[in-house]
Parts: sequence; C-alpha cells; structure tokens
Amino acid sequence: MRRLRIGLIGAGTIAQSAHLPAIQRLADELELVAIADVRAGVAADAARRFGAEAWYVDYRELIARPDIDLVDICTPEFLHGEQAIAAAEAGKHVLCEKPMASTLQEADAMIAAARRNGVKLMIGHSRRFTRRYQEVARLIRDGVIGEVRLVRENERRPRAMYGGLELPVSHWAPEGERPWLASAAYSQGAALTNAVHETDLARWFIGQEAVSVYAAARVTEPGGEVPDFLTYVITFASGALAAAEIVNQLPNGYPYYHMLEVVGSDGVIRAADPPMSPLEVWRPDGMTYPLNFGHLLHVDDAYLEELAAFARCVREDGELPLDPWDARQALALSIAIVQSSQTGQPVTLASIEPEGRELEGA
Amino acid sequence: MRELAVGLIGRGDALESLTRAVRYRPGIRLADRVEPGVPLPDADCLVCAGLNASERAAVAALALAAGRRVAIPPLPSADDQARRALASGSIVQVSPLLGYAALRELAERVHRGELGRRYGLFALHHLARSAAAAVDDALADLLHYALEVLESPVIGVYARRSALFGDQADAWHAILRLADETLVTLEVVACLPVSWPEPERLLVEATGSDAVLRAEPTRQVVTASDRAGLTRGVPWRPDPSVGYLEAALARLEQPDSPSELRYLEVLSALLAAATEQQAVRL
Repeated sequence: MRRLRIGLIGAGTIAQSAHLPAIQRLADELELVAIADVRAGVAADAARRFGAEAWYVDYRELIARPDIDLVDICTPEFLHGEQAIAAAEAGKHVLCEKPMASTLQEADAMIAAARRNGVKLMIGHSRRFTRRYQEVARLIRDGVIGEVRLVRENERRPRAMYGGLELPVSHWAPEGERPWLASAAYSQGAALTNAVHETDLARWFIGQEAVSVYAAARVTEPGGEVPDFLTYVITFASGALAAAEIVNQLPNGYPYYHMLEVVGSDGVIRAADPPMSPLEVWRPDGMTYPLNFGHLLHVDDAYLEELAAFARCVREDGELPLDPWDARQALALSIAIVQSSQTGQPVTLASIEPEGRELEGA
Repeated sequence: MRELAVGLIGRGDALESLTRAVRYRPGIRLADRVEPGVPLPDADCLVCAGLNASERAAVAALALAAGRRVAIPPLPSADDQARRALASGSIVQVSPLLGYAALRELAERVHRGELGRRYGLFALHHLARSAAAAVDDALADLLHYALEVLESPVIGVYARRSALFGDQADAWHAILRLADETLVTLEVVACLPVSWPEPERLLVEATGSDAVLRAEPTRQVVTASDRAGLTRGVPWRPDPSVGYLEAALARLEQPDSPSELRYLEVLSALLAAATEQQAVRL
C-alpha cells in the first residue's frame, strides 16, 4: 500500500499537541512530507522533530509540490477559507481544523472548491472521533433513550490548559500583539473556538437542524478582547433543546472538564468526567486537581482516528466520515451564538444565511 | 424565655420532615400543623413546606389578610397580590434549597468573596419525569436561591418554558445577566427516569477568577448492583428540613422586603421572556 503524502500548514499548538503526533503514529499510512508556518523557526523545528523533509514559511510553496496528496490545515480559522480553497484548486485533498471558517460565505466557498476540483474536504471535528461521543451516538442510534429532547454539555478549562502540555510552541501572535485566539482582530472567541464542538455534537445527537439561538457571553480575562465565557440555549425544529455553559479562564487547580447529558423520551445518557478527576492532590492548604491530560479529549486517540478515517476515505475514494455540510452547520450555530450574544436577543438560523446562497445541504 | 410557637403548613413527607425538625429544635415548640386550604394555625409564626404554586399564593394571601408572619417557599407568580404580600414584611420567602448544607455553604463563601472576580453561576435541578407539574415551583426555588447567592441587580433575562416530553410544560431554561456582568444559567427539567439512582439531581457551580465552588447535595446515594446487572440507588442524604427551618426562622427574624420585591421583579421579567420568546431588559 502506497503511503499518502501529507503536508501540514500551521505548526502551532493543535498541530504539535495532536495532529503531528497522530501522523507519526500513522507512519504505515501517512508520510509527512512538509510543514509550513509563518514562523520560520517553528516550521523548521517541527519539521526536524516530526521528520518532514521540507519546511516553508509560505504555505503556497507547500501546496505547489506535486508530490503531496493531502493537506492538513491547522491554522487559525480566518485563514481556512483561503488556504483550503488554494489547496483544493491545486488538487489536494483537504483536512481542515475546526471551526470550518470565520464566515458562512467562506465555508460555502470551501465546499464549492472541493466539489469543483473533485477532492475530499473534511473538517476536523475531533469529538466525532472521540470514543466517548461515538458511544453516546451509538446508544442514540440504537434507540436506547428514544427521541433526543435535550442535550446539555458544559465545558470548563483552566487558564493554563495548554501551558501544562509543555509544548515547544505557543499560539501564533502578530508582532507586538496578543495571541490570535485572544485578539478581536482574528478571533470571535469561545463561540467558535470551543462551542463549535458543542454545536456540532448537538446537531449530531438531535439529528436535525436548529431554528434559533439565544446566547450571552462575556470577557472574564482582564484586558481581554474576545468572549471567553458563554452560555446558550439552541432550539431545534422539533422543539428539542441544546444548552451549554463554557468557561475558559478558571483557576489552574480546576480540571479540564466536560459534563454531557442527553435526555431522551425514554431515558438519559450521562457522559461526564467523573467528579471531578481521578487524580487529586491533597496538601495542608487543601485539595487540587492537577492538570490531568488523560482527560484532555484531544490527546486521546481522537486525532489518530480522525486522520486515519480521512486517509482511508481518500485512498478508497469512499464516503467522507464527516460531511463538510455538518461542519458548516455547526459553524452557522456558532455564528448565531456570536450574533445573539452581541444583540442580546434570540437569533434565527435563517436570518444569518448569506444572500443568494446556492449550495444546499449534503 | 418563652419558646417561639411555630405553626406548620404543608402536606405529605415534607410536612412530616418539618414537624420532626421543629420538635427537635431547641427554643421553639410546635403550636399546630395543618394542610393548606384550612384556616391558618394560631402561632407566633408560620412555616410552610411542600406547597405547590397555587397553595403558596393562597397562604400568602391569607397571611396578608390576617397580618400573620409566615415563611413560604418562593412565589412562582408575580401579581399585585404577591407584591403586596412581600412588601408587608410579614411574609418572607425561603428557598427550600437552603435546606442543603452544601448550598448554604456555597452561598456564604460567595458572600465572603472567595470567587474573586465572579464569572457565572450554573444551577441545574432535574426532577423525576413524573414531576412535570412541579417545574414552575422548582424554577422559583432555584431563581430565589441564585439571586440570594449573587446579590447583584439583574439587568437582562431570557427564558424558555418547554414541553419536552409531552403536552405539559416540563422544562425551564433561563439565562440572567447581572449588573456586575455575572451570567446566571438556570435549568429545571422533569426528566429523570425511574431507574435514575437519585430522586432528584441538583448541581450548582459558581465560577470565578480565584475559585470554583461546586455543590451536588443530592449526590448522596448508596448504590447496589445485583447479579442480574441491575444497579439501584438508595438516597441517604440528611433531611433538608432542618436547614430549611433554620433559614425560615432567620428570615422571619430579619425580613428583607426590598430583596423579596427584587425577586418578584426578576420573576416577572422571566415569565414575560418565556411568553414573548424574547430577552427582557430590567
């Protein structure tokens, strides 16, 4: 079996904590050829550590290589549209990190470019490949709890979540500016960074489209520019609800934590991290939950499964494990969350659709 | 010193528990106990438990007319009669959630400033699927508790009252924005199946820059698994009536009409938001 040759764009935290280690573990199926990052030192170091033969500062040089079969995009979302479309136009299959893009127009253009060029496009919603959520989806599919009527997932992160990973790289930051994730010039905050996971899970579990969203958000980080705390309620066509509270700036003693409850007409599924973590440290001044990366969903096998599934789909020209339309609709919900939190009123999904949109759901 | 004569109004297990709490509480004596719908008992003060929405309102009206001091669970409607009753100062509201030591402790720690900069309060109350008729009352109890914990004016409210499992409303979802930017999320759903190991599920998480305070007072269950693989839960938690009684007596001693009326104002906005499907500013 010929190994698929892969190029990775954006060697930041998610690439070095999740994608590149997964590519290394899939060495029988994937050959890492090149890495691109606007930070030359980061690109060169990642290429050396993960065994890529080349590195670039300009991603266009990477996608110009004829020997690359597929591109893995791990850049901030405001670059996804441009880079995914360029890769598709160059005939590369594209795996792109979530959220799909910054806008629905970009997302639609990405889908159109992939169709036009006959390449596969998948958005890396890692939780679709996480065992916990796959088990929940299977139970729902098997009818164990009947019709899903309520999905509640709360997500809590300590401030130093990524700091604890001891990565040799941090989030990209323009010179003299704060990291892109915390900058209003580049990010829309927790609604797209975190909640696009929850919005995707809600659609997946409820199995239909949403009608409206109400959300409230705030900035808790002193001097912060983008919301890092949000709470929302989504109403689906059948009247089913999805709700979440997402908090990103908790004291470091608090563990990374998810609480998922799916309530159906015939029962309840609960898939929360046990209270609160299997690792606790007691000292004279009290108890803490040290950062426990066994609970970080993205360092489990989710990314390995995600990359392996996409590679299999490319090699066999099979069905995509996750249609880009699903990612597009999860993005739509996240954008509705942003708009609702800004206007202070519920937002309908119909009201945020781009004018003259031609694409329909897959 | 003369013992305080306490009259009780309630029914069922709640009344029995409250009766036991009064009997074993030094400094007070049980004057009488009645079910709702009969004349108020003769006593120095009255404490109510286990009443539904209409019974809470009826007791408040009777007490107002008779000039009696009474502690009732929070009123789930915000009409003029409720306003007059709470403005009188003789009728006080006590959330049954204060019966739980963990929730009282959480409130006290928030008041002491342990959270640092406050982020939010998440409060969830899941009831048995068969208890759909109680979701309005449970929301009132949760809302009153949340406002008591945070003590900051509410400036905006969004709410949904849904029928998730049948024709009858069985769920509330509410989001409150406070003047100090704290975001409050309330969820009340009658959704627990009969096999759920707890008779109800309560979770409160207060988040802030310096601490997270998390209380799950109903999570005290002996779990038994049999050879057929069936697991059952037997709750063993302390009786919340004792803490509820203490809170009621303290509130009767020091009524706070302005706070009670603020609760009604927020409740009124919340009910309007649910009806209009719009967020309401206060």
